[in-house]
Amino acid sequence: MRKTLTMALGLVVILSLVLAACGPAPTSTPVPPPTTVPATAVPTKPPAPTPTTGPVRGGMYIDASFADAVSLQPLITNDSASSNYQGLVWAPLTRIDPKTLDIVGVMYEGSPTFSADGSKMTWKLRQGLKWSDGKPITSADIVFSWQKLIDEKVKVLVRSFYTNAYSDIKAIDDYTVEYTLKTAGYCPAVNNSAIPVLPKHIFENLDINQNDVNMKPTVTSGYFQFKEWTKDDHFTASPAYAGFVRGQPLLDGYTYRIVKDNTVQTALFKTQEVDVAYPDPVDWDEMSKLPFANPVAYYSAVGAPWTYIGYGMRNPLLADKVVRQAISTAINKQEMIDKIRLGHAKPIYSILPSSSWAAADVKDLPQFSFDPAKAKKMLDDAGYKLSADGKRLDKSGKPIKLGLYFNAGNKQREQIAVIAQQYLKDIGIETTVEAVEWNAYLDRVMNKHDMDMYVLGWTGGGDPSSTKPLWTTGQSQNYSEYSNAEVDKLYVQAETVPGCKQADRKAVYVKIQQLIAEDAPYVFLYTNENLNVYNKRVGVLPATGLGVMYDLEKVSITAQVTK
Amino acid sequence: MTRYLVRRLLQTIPVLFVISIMQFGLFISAPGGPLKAYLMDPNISKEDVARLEHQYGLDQPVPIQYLNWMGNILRGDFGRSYFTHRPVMESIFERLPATVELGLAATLISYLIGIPLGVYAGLHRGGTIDHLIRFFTSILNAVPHWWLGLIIIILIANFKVRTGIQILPIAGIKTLGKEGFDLIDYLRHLILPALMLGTGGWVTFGRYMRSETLEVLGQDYVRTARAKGLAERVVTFRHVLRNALIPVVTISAGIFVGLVSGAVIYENIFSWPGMGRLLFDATLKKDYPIAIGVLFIFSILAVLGRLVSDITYGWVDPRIRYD
Repeated sequence: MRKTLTMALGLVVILSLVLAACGPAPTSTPVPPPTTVPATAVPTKPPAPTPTTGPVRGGMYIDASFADAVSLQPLITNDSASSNYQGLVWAPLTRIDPKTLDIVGVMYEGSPTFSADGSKMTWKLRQGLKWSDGKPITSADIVFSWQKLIDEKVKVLVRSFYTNAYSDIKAIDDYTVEYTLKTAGYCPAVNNSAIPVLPKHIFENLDINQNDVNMKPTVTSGYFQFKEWTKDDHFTASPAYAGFVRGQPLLDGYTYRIVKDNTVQTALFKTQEVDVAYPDPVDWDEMSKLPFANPVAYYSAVGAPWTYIGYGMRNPLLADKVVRQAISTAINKQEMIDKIRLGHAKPIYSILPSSSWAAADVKDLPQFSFDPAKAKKMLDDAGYKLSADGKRLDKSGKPIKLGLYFNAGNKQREQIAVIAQQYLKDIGIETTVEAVEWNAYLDRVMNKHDMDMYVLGWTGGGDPSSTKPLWTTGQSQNYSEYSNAEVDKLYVQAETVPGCKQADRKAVYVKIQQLIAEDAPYVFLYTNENLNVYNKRVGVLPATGLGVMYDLEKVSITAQVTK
Repeated sequence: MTRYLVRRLLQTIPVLFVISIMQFGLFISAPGGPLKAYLMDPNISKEDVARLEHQYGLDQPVPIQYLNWMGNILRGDFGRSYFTHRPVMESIFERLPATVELGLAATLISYLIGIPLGVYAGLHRGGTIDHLIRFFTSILNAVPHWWLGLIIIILIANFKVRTGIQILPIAGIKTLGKEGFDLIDYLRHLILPALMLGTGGWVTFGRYMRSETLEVLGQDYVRTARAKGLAERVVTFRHVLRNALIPVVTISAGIFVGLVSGAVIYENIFSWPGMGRLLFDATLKKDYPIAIGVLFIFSILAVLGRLVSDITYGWVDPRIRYD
């Protein structure tokens, strides 16, 4: 009897604990509203309040990362995790201004000057900058880094990104660097000028591909110095570097905690073991209401993720522009946004998200608004008739059957594919949806171009010139094999607009966007709203299109909150 | 015995050779290649990728790539990662301790929970506890343990939000910010992943031990021992437990190998920085040298584990002889 009682009591205790854990989380009153920032650099609402009494020096910010970095050697890496770590320990030459979104100097001063014929670009390096060992940073370090970047022995990933822009970089004096442009008046030259800068005195006698310093840099120039890196566990940069070009950071250190699973990352935010979480839309409300949470939602001005359904234009049916336009007209983007992103996205109509400075006004673009009746009529008029049993027939009279692919495991893309399948069925087009393992998917889409339709996404870069490989004939990232001679010509023209003024360049890019939107090589779907939740102890910055951490030296840990 | 051992060790060489061909073949024949994914980046051109593929020898015929790889292995060089450019063995040995520690802890948990439960259930066949043990082990056999791990993580996090009390750490190998090695902190981080990884082990041990105990209880020598008037404790420990443990001991090596290789899933869930995560990432990125290197280590462990099993079997059961 006593045993049974003990067991019963034990069960009650365990059940209580589970019920306590399963119940709704307590919320603070009042809950700060999420900070919603428009695509432009100017937020419409102020950021959520943080319990700050002014910036405080010290404290460690703990970020969460889905992936670990490859190396701290910027010349041989190109993954985002490596870029994040490197951004903490290496100071950049330039950066994107959070307000104007222009490229401005960091270790360089202000803006560059150009020679009269536009073939040379000159940057001035700030004087007095020092590596963390006290040695001066000079143009010799920049020229050394350039030489390593073009050295055939060094396994540089993004060499052509730089060598397509410049034929040489040389030092005029200790603080003047001259870039020789491959094409005179090449406008993206400013954008590409931030080559990674390494301390020459450390690396000149080392093999850049393989050396201990790549994983544990002893001499740095960034916000923080390197402290420790336990692979696949965490990376810590600390302490703050007093000689950092933009001033000593308020934080004493920055840690990336590697957590590959989004559920676990969310749980770590709840236990306050990380200071930020990137919840899925379905978790957004719950996470925003946590008593220690400061929710921040914004549309990125740089690196905005957007999703599309692409076509394989080797299929003669899909090479027909009218068919593509009809499919675009048959798909309800807003319904996808509401069902898949729970409203946390907005539709796009061409190749640049509205957050880009070069984005065309939506009203100037063909939108192919959702209208299934119109889509049917477009197909009918183009000679693709409906059979008696409601199946759409090609011009030879056979029922149209299309394959729609997505990468297995990506829930969002799976939902897009399934919803699109239904829309296509509504206009009589039969579609088979197929999940493909990621590497096999990339092989099918990027190399073999063996697809009718596929769901994929892009992350919009800073300068619109970065979209050229996606839309010009025969380029690496033009998976759909889209080709329009006028677009090819305009991309070249946009790169060499006289004077390179943003307004003049934008005019050319608007024409490109209009032409591509009209050709409908993709069903342009939507761009995601970034959903971040910070711990209130982090004194984040006013939100812009670059988020709330853009001037990292000003971010602080204000106070410990409800532990 | 020595002849047997030498013969078995020599037999492992062709086995490992065949395994190496299969592993290499599987990775190479999979679509795409390690550098192809870079074509997702507009800043990287086809020419950049082709140049690097040439530098890595990825543009050579597959048999040549295999021979180069195997030739290097015979010289003790498992190659370098395509991404970090670090030696494969350096990356593996960096993570090997974490995986072995997790595997050992899970094995220990399997023994400590599975054996007493199985023996108790066997000795009290048909009782309430026996029914409960069988009920819960059947459920645990059916539920994916990684899913259970995720549920426990969510429960612990929500419990912390509600009460401010964190029962156990839910991820990582140490508390961030702690300087140096803290054994207590390390053990606290080890408990959840080891418990989840070891669940399959203790459920298996428990079921084995229950059926073996029942079988041994029915043997004549147990009846004789009881008839001689030996205390029940002596009968249980000296006659029942010792004999019931024989098959369990023989499967232990296999269980350990299974736990080590099963770490791929649990290390990812609990953010445990071991070889499993290394293998997972390398497979996704198609970093062949790393992936094949880790699998090769797992293969060696599996082959040696089987050998240890066979030897242990003869050691604990005098009826077995090696010819």
